[in-house]
Amino acid sequence: MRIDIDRVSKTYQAGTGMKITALDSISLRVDSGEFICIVGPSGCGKSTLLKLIGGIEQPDAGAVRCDDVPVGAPSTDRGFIFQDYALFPWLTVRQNIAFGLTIKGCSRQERKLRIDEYLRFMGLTGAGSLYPGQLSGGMRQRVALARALCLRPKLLLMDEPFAALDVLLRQRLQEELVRIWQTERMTYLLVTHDVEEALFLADRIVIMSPHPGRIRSILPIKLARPRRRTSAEFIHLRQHIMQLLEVGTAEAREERTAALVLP
Amino acid sequence: MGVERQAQAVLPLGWKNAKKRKRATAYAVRTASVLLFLLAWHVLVHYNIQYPLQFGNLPKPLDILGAWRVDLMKQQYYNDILASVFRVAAGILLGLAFAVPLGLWIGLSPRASDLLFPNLELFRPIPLIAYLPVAMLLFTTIESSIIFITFVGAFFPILLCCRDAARQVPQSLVQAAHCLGCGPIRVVWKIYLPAMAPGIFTGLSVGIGASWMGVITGEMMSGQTGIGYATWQAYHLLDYNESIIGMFSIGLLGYASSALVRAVERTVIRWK
Ligand SMILES: Nc1ncnc2c1ncn2[C@@H]1O[C@H](COP(=O)(O)OP(=O)(O)OP(=O)(O)O)[C@@H](O)[C@H]1O
Ligand SMILES: [Mg+2]
Repeated sequence: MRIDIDRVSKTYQAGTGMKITALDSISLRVDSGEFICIVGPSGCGKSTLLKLIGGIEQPDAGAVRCDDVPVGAPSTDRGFIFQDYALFPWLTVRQNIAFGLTIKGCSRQERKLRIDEYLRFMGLTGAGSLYPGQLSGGMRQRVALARALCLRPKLLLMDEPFAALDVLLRQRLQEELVRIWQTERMTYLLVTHDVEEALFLADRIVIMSPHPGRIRSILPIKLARPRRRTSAEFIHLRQHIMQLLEVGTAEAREERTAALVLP
Repeated sequence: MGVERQAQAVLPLGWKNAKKRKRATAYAVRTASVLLFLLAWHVLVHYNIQYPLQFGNLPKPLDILGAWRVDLMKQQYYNDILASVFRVAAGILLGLAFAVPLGLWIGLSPRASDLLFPNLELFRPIPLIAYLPVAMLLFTTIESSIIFITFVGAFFPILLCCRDAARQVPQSLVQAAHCLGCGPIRVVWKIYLPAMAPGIFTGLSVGIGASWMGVITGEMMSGQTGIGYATWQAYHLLDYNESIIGMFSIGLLGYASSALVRAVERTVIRWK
């Protein structure tokens, strides 16, 4: 699925009546089948951008188009993985995965086949009758992935999907994600705090800066896959992106101070 | 090696025994406390103690137990209980039917909250017994006015718990459901109600207590049947045994109904 983000702005009204510009005239084009990672300091509007593409929130100005169709409401074409996984605690793993399929009106037989397929794919066989409260963080993450993927979306939006996991598990799931992406070949947009994660996953890295939320730079990553985190190139690039991030935050801070001083 | 394995085998067994003994002690203490209460009661009545309270006027516990045994053979006793149980059940079901949708609506829409809540807050502090005159005016039969009182008792606790539960449903669950193709009406059934279920049960267990309060009030004031009516009637007929049997029957029924709510809750909410 191709995404066109055209001069999109979004402001929030804070409780005190103050306006927060979460996104300030953002433009971005994502090609079909691309893996995009969005990095940036906290509060730069990464989640907001993802929600606008998902149709969960509406922009104040500008437009988001997916395959030339303006985004209005959420759709099953665009899968969304929430930061807290948002699994339904009253449903078992199987029922969670079945949720979207049932609404879609899949026959019982087809549903069973699809669920079994994804349970196997995610290494969750045997966990089907457990409730989310009985799962480990990594398993929850995979259930959320299975629940979104079994609807065969054309685009997958992920908001810091691995933030709550330990390093080893995170690296394993990153490898799995690349494997899934390479087999299913759809468009991936992933938000992260972790520069290394972005470097390991992305075709292009979008670096954002806060106050107001803007795209600072877009970096194509030409490293061959599978990538090695210890290669000299990898480490060099990581250094480079870290620098870009630091400069971006410092500049934003200066601008804000200047705005405070000048009338 | 052999000794070690033996030790391992013995240890959990001893531990289990200790646990069993602990539970047995707990039960013994509880039984002793009830027996002690009955004994104190018996002694107070037997020696006709009139100070600080007129304990001597009460019937003796053993006489009551004897009379209760006779009651248990009589159809009338069960008819009274059934009449009250039916009224409480009707009140609870009506309470659920009205309070759950209203609580959900008030919880989700600030406009609904502004519109309805001032009125509801006005009625909520009114004790159930004070609803009785209006109930008598509004309804043609005594039966329906008693059911109305039990309904009012169940309504407010369920309403408040539902409102709070609706506000606490995580937005990410609702958004996730939308992203999985769930429309705005189906979200109520598939997300809000199951997410609110624990809150609804909290309201229900408070509400069922209030409903019993309501039914006994209604029956004592205006009923012709029911366990509350029987208790009050017996007092007027100077049959104090029966009054006290009625009192304890009401206590047991209240206890049984909260146990029932808890049992239903455990079967419905399996994920906790
Ligand atoms: N519902 C909301 N109401 C008010 N302000 C909001 C809301 N959602 C986001 N904001 C504000 O918009 C800005 C961007 O928020 P957003 O959640 O998109 O940041 P983020 O880049 O995802 O941050 P993080 O990395 O901490 O998750 C923040 O300043 C935040 O305070
Ligand atoms: Mg965020």
